[in-house]
Amino acid sequence: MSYGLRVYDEKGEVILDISDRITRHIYTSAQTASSGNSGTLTELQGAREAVFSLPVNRPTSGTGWFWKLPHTVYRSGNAMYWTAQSYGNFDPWTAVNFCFIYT
Amino acid sequence: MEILILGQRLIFVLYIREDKTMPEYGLKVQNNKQEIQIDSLYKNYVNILSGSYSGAAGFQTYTFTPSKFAPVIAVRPKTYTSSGIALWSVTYSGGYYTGFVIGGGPTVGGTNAIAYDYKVFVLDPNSISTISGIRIRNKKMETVYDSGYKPLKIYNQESVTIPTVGMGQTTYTHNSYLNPFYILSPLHQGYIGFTTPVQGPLRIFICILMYASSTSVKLAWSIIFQGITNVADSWQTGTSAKIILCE
Repeated sequence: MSYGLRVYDEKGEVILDISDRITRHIYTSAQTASSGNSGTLTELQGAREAVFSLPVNRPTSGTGWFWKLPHTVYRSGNAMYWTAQSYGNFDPWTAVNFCFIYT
Repeated sequence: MEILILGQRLIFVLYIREDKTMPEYGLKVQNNKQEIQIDSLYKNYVNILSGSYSGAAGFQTYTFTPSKFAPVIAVRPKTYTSSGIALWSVTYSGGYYTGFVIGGGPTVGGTNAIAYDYKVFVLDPNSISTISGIRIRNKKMETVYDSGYKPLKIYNQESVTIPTVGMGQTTYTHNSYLNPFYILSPLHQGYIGFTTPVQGPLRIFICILMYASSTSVKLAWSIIFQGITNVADSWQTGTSAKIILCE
């Protein structure tokens, strides 16, 4: 082992090694979703790599329980974008949080 | 610089590289692909809750210690090859995430039972671990890494094709990874309306992850709501998603 960190648990099993890709949380932004919403995530411009971004549907009010908007975060060049699927019959009280997890 | 720390139950072997680009003081650890694992700036997601369910199809609600940041929830469907699950939603109250809901059921004509494992990862486990080890804090004195918690490990991420709503299924194979946990994002939904002869059923589906084997998983659809319509139509919220293999 030339570099890195190796962590063992109480049973002696390795829970972190130099080959592991583990997550760090860089940025969270709450975006209110409505039909066809989209936007540029300016705080993340020029970021090296987003291993994954995780849109999380969460209610802000109301009781609607189905037709959750699918939110997508994508990268084009050095810019990060967010879009909500255009759709006319979704729960209007749903918002989204983005978890950008980088290496 | 190499540091060897012998604790009561933990052994660490550290090699701290000198890095003039490091933006802050403290420790920075990279993996063998030069990707940052730990630094003094950003918090690592850690596992605070794990569990399993096996039983009737439907929705199961879980709670965890409230967290200010959105949790990461990974699931692993198992046992049944004609029913599956999806992370339906997270619960949020007073500025804190407090739980989540997993929903699942059969494909059309499938088994009306589900089985799965789940893991919850958060950024702020609210307490430091009690065992010996290493903890890294940022300049606000918040713990960003604690070796007493298992970190969220990402094995792979790929784009997958969402099948056609209704009976459609696609298979994602991951030969290099055995029985991983999955994150499917975003959640997709769809509907099919039938007119037989004038009015017919309206079926609303969610896209589910369905067990296939230790090295593959299927994407399929399960009905979550049924109504009546007089319009023959079908629609789904998209045809692609990201699947993340993790532990």
